[in-house]
Amino acid sequence: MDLTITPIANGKILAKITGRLDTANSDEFEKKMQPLLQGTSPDIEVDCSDLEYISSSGLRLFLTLQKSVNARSGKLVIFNMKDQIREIFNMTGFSRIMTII
Amino acid sequence: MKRLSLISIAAFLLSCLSVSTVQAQNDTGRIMLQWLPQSQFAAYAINKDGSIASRMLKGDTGFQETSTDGIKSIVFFTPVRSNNWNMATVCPASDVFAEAYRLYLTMIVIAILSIACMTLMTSMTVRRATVPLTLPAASTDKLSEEDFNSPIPRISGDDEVGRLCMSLSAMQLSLSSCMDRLRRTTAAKERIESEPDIAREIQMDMVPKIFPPFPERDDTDIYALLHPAREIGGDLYDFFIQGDRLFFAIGDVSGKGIPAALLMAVTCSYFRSAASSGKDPGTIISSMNRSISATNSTNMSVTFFTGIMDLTTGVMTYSNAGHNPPLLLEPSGNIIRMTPDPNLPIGLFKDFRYTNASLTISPGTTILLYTDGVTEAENTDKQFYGEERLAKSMEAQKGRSAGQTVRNIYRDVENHVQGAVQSDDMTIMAIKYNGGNPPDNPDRRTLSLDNRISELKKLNEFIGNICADAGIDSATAMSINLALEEAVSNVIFYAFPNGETGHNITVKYRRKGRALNFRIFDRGIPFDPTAQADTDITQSAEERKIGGLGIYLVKQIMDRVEYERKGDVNILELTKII
Repeated sequence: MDLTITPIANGKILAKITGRLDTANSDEFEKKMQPLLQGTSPDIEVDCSDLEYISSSGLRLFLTLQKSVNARSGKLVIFNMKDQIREIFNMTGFSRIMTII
Repeated sequence: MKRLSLISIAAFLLSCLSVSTVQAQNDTGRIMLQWLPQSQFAAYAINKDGSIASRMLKGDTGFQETSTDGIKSIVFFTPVRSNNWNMATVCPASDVFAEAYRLYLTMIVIAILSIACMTLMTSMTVRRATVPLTLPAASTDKLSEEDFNSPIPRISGDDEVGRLCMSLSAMQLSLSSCMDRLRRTTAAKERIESEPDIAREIQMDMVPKIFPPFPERDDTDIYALLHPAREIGGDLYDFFIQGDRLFFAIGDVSGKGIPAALLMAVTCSYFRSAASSGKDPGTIISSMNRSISATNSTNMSVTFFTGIMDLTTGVMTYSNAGHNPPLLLEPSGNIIRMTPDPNLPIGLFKDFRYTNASLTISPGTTILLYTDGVTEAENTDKQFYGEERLAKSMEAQKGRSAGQTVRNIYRDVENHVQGAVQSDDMTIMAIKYNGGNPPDNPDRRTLSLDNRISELKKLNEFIGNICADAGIDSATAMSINLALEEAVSNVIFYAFPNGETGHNITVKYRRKGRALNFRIFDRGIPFDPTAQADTDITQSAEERKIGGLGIYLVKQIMDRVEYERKGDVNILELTKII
């Protein structure tokens, strides 16, 4: 699992998640995503093209991020999600509260 | 004597009597009279029937009572020899007896007064003597109500009441101390009577009582029953699994009651600690023997049998310390009586070396361990249940589970005993060996994990292999993996609240056609995930709670989710139809 955070145009931030986001490494991911929660820019795009697996603890972190962005009146866009990952977002109702393209 | 109405009559009786008798009286025939105030008496002839006159004529001297007009008189008469007269004096009886009556009355009055005086004095004396007794009497009433603390009145004096009060005081003291002693004795008696309960508690606390003990294992099925006698006999049994090695033991402490229960508890502890070294049974018993002999001042001993069975191969090593040899029931129904070296009971010779033996148990075999309370169970005719009947009863248990075997044999012993009093503890333990799982069977697999998050990698790998071998597409494989990960991490996070690790979580997989079945076993706190309310997925991001997602995913992914608490084990069964 890895998370790279890069600023892009218009003050937006691009975050790319690679590998598995499971129970065992969700703590590590939580630490890595702190800049996304505390940064000045609340507009975040998350690239999930290389996200291979997500567990409920990973989903919780997505929820935390969404709440943080909402609180800062920003916008969270998640894209390039694999079908099986999107299925999990659907199952849990997360696709209703997140913008997944 | 006062002469108020005394009349003296000197009479020559004539007019009222016959002439012939008159003549006899006096030659002159004159009646001599002396008048006194009651002279009218002279008109009568002394008395009517003449009996006085006739006596006078006879010359008698005497007196006689007579009655005239209802007035009693007494006539005193005597002849006067000198002049040949007869002289009679008539006195009214009232005059004669006046003094006597007065005396009589006086005496009666004196007597009555005396009696009254005496009664009064006696009653006063008695009252004076008894009034002080009312106080001690009240005290004795209190004593009889078991009130030993109210003060006894202090009545000074050397009299009986004073002494009585002192005696009462002393009695109160001694009664009070007697009651104290009685209370203490009763309490002690109750304690002694509760000794069997205490001993039984000690004993039952030491042996595993949860059955089935290893629901996560298919290779072995264990059941044990310890039925203590009223006076504890010190039976014991124990078993545990380390990896794939099953350690088991049965024993019987000599003696009864609390001493036996305590030695039983000590033996159990020594067994656990000696066995955890992982050494062979002979070494385990030798080590226990050294420890117990060293502190065995009462020369009690323990017969003991212990074995270690490799559940993958069925190889069992065992050692005996004077205990009844176990029976084996083979799948064919054949009964084998094991013949271990008897060695010596534990606790007798500190340096005795206990020998080992080994045997390969074929799958389907049941090992029956028991104590002599079973074979020596007596009926009312003092006949033992005996080893033969035990073997016969065991033979009938072919194909039965360990639990059924033990319960059936116990019932048979009860049938033999027919209500006779059980004199010794009775322990029956059955270990059924079902054979190790063939390691290369792709449809039956077992994974054993520690309760740590880092162990989830092993689970991912385990599920990955299963899905690959079953030819399952990657999307389905991922969701199965997710469900298992959620279920297992739920156990890791919540089943052991104190955060202690080292607890085992077993995942068993088996495939039946299109059904992939996973069972997750843990010995954590009882928790039924299926009873949790579903997460509300329609809530907004702000409303969504952090918890409950994992279980929700499990329920969404799997076709069937079932929970069962068996003994002290949580079993969560997940089934996915592919």
